[in-house]
Amino acid sequence: MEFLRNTWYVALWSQDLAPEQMVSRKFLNEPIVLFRQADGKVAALADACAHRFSPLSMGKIVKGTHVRCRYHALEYDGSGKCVFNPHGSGRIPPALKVRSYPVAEKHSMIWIWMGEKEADPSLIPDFSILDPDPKKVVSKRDWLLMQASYELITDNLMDLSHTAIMHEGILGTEHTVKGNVTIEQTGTTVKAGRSLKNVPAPGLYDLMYKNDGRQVDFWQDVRWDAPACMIIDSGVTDPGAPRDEGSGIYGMHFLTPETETTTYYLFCAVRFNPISWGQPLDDEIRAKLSDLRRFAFEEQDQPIIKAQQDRIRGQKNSAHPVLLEIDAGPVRYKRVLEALIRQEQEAATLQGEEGRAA
Amino acid sequence: MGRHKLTTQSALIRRIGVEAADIRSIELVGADGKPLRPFEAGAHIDVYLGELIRQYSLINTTDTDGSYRIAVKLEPTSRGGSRRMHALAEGETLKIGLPRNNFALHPDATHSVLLAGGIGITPLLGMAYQLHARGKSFSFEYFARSDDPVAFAQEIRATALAPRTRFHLGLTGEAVRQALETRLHTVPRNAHVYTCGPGPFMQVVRELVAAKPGLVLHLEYFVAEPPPLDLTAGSFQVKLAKSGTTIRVDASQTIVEALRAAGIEVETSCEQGVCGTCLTTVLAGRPDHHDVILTEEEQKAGDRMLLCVSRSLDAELVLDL
Repeated sequence: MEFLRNTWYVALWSQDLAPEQMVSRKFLNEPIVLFRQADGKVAALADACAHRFSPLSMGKIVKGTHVRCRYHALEYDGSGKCVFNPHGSGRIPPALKVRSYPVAEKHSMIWIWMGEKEADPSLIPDFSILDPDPKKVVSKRDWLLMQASYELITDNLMDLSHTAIMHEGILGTEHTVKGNVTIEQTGTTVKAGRSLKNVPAPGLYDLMYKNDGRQVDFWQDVRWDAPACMIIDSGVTDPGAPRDEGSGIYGMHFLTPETETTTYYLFCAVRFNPISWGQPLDDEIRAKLSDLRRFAFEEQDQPIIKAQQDRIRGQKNSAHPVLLEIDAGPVRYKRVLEALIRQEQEAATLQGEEGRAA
Repeated sequence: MGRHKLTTQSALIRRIGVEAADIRSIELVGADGKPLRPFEAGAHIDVYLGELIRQYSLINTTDTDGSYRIAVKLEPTSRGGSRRMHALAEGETLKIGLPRNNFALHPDATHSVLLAGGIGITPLLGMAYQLHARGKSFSFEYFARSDDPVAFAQEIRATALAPRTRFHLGLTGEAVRQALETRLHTVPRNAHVYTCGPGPFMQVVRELVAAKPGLVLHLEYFVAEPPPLDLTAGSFQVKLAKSGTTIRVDASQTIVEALRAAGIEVETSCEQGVCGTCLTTVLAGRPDHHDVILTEEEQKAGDRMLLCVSRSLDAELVLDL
């Protein structure tokens, strides 16, 4: 499948790009250099000098605002224009420029627009949960490069039935296998809900809540926005009690394809209604939660998803999975995503035809 | 062209009689003036009503005049066979099948007992005529739930069948069982018992006969008209626009299952309304969506549906298949 281009992808956590720092990435197969200027503004340029294609990311930031190519010291500003040529007459051919990608900084992330259409930062979905707030208990904003397609990872996150199997004891139990699955769509936002009544609190939730192993109502609701930005609102509350009387965690998941089969996965978690047991217990619990989540993700999800990717890659023809009821979420987001991509492709074709006709 | 075995006959409706408020008898003769194919008592014929085929027992005897006589009870909830049969008029022609017999009289029976329940009288009446005509020993018990005039009562009373026939009218439940028990009590050993009637009636007969060794039981099940489509109970039909076929979907079936049972394979994968493989265009009728793949707007539009889980709000859906 083609990538959706006219959309905001998360490029980096804001924290991971300091002033006058450069980071090299590849998004949707395109090498990109992101850098933060001295005044805090972020720019993203095609990571290949227009002169001899050496990566700009091998150069350095100069004058607080420019990237200087390591090869011939051509300097580019944040708009991708070459603004300094140390050679000869110093003349700068108008063509000496590189593609500049629109970027926006919002909800503690740097977002990048990969399409040709005008970038509208108001289209960035609401992730205000991640806006700075000293009261919030937020885990480390982390990332890794996964050896799997963003779709496989999205499938994992949109169908949380696997939590009862793969993360048994941590994020689910034998009692949470058969969840009540709901699906809801507003515009291009998909919400896949999963809930269970009166079940023993799975390990991680018990730890966050009352730590007594008692029965709870348990929910795991995913909100998906294109291209692959998700919040998993999961928590537990006393049987029959409103959710806001319980405690839980917002899992924040952002997937940005590097290639068709590799993905930048940015993640963190925000607790809601954290219950305080006083120190040092709170810190111990926090450390334990963090360990459990890391274990679930790194030792359980990641190897499976990577192995899935290997299997899929090994198949000559693209394989069609046989789906189950639990796949309502994955199917719905994929439909929305495919429709968006198709629209984009059709619009591009149409433009191309009009161009030829003119 | 090879030679085709003729399997249907063309019949003319000679006479229609009112046998009871809801029962018509229909006399058929060969449309070409020739006698219809001969038959033995207990036989039935197929009657073709457009795409519907219904079976009716022949109630006259073959040694009359080459005519057939059938009786049709109007089912109040009928949408098909009986309603259409009741709408027929004298002088119309009908396509009918050849007589078939799964309920023939045993030639060597020393005594025969005919137990009729309601409209189950039809095959047994012909048998009674035949047994009488051949001078055989028999008794004829006619049960009807209602006290109202029952079909063929007048006819029976006006013929030689009268002395052999006992009417059990207005009986239900336990009273039927008791009456049957009493009648069977005096039946000679090795008699052949023939019964036709509603399921519960025949069940009682089976039980009583089973308890009396020596009797030989012959059953004729009604090929009941399929229960009428009842949306509130969950049944409906789908019409396939490309082939013109209409297929009934029972409450216990999915559309995919009903099509499959009719030999029509629809490509599916999950069969749980999730994957969208069986998404099909709806040309008419309102689908009752049960999938999770279509958005609310798409479901409201009602122009496509998932055949594996979704059903119908209307009695009929027309599908682009």
